[in-house]
Amino acid sequence: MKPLIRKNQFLLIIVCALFFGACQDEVTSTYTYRTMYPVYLEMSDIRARVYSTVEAQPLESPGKIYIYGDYLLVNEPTKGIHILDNSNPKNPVNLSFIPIPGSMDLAVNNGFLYADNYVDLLVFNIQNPNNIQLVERVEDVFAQLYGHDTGQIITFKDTVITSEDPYYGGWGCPNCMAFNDALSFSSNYSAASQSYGTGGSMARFTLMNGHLYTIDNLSLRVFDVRKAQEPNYLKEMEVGWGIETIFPFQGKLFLGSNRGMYIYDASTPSTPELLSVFEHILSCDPVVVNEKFAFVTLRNGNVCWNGANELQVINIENPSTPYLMKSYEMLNPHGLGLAGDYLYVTEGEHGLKSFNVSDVLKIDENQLEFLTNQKSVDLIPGPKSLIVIGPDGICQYDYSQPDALEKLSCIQVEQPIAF
Amino acid sequence: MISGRILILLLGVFILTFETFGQDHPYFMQTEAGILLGDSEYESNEIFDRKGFTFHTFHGVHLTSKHVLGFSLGVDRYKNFTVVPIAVGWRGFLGKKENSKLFLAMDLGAGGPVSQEAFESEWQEYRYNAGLMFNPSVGFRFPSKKGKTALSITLGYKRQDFSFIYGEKSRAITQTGVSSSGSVVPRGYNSYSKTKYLYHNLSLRMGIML
Repeated sequence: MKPLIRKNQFLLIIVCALFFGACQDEVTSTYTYRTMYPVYLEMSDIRARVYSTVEAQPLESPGKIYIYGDYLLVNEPTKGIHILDNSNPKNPVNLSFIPIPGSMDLAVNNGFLYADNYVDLLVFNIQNPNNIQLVERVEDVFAQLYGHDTGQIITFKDTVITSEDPYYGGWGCPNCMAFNDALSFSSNYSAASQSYGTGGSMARFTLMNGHLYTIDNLSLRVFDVRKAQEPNYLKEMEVGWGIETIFPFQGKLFLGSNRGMYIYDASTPSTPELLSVFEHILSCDPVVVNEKFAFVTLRNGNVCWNGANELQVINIENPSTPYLMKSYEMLNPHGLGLAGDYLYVTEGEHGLKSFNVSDVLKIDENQLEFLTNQKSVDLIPGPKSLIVIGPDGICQYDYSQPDALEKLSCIQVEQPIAF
Repeated sequence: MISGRILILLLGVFILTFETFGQDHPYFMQTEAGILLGDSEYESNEIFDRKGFTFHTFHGVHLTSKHVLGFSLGVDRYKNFTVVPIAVGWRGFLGKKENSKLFLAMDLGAGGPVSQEAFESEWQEYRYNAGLMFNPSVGFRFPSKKGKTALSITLGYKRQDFSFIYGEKSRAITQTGVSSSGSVVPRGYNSYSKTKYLYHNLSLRMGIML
């Protein structure tokens, strides 16, 4: 009788079984998380660097934008300032970059650019954008960054770490701290992505009546800049906790904080005086203002995650006694801009909205547009275009018809990897 | 959860196979049950012998008298998971005679845990992603004295992987983050973890062929 299995076939089976059976299961975990690690810097090293323009750099995480004539100045938080030629809003051209470590904000006064460089204020002559020169350094004015005992600057750098350890802030990096939305430079658009001017709502540097006002979390600083190239640091005023935004209007300063809106009378520019405080629940709140009303967005995010998502209209006809007219439910409002009777609200990942606010009691009935694909965190209604800043980049719209915004151009942020 | 795209692709191959060959070529079926054997590791690093039930049903058509192409569906039980692999498969009969007893088999497809629900809220997200299934094997058939049915026994290797994804969302708008090793935290997330499961099995099954 013929055997059922030949000898070589039997061997084949045995070899297969032994070979494949020898392997052991594998279970591998990787944890990738955002964290912040401390960076200690000596200001003497920072000051010794050369501050001049270099070739254009791609936008990574655009922060505050400033319009200067036909130019756009775009802050790259903690890294520097991009210079763009925006004479044609349909085709903005990235011209050059000024590396300024620690830079978070900027303002331009008569052709002189103010930028923070950790604890110092720098002044650049940008009257010829092709030949930008550092002309002045005002030292130690933002002294809150100094460590108390060492005199070093302590700052935290956003980073992404991969480990096999699920623990945040990891044992491999004992000084790292868990990623904090509120402190992060790359994500905290309330701190890093501001704008300035009549349309800007998230500014931390602002100019009014020959004075530069800067805010940090707790305080308001005043500089006399009537000689634009020689800022004269005047004073620091403690304001309150959680100051986020500053908006100037007709001799008054409107400060948005986590807890409410502060109105300062700056008719004596060197000595702003508190007029009133309009308090609300804990929330994040950029402000824009016209003669009668302040428009405030309250946002559920960052440190203010218990807050609401609302647009509030506050009557400021008597700035000493502001009161709430009406509040409207929003999705996740960030910066906002006012151009005449039209209000533009950035809704974070949800998009961009425009409203007719000629009747402030019926804003919800007068929503004109909701561009859900335009993720946005702040905007400036500029002279040539509505400039919208979002996580994907900077887009410009023709807003001559607020109910039919027409996209002119977008400068895309360089994404690390498309996920 | 098995990826919808893979499922659609496999169904497409299956339908195409039957459409193309079904009318002129006889139907073939192989359904078996058995055991998966492997070595796993406890968290304490202790190795243990893993055993789990396996079920497998293959349906195809004869391209020639020696070659069958088809589609298979299985159920495999691992320690904490029940995995349903779906695959395209081939069966090849060795020897010159029509009724050869030795055959080779190859199944290639994808599978992932079933009954593990995906979850997403404004704070977090987790889900299982299907992974590759690869199952070469060798078998014997023992034809019945009457009719076309046969008893089959197969011995093979079965590789199955899948992954578990867990993400904690950010309250802020964050950009996509990339670590120095190239791992990614997607935009809108503060952390993202991935656990890869890879099972090496010796599969031993018995069943019927038609």
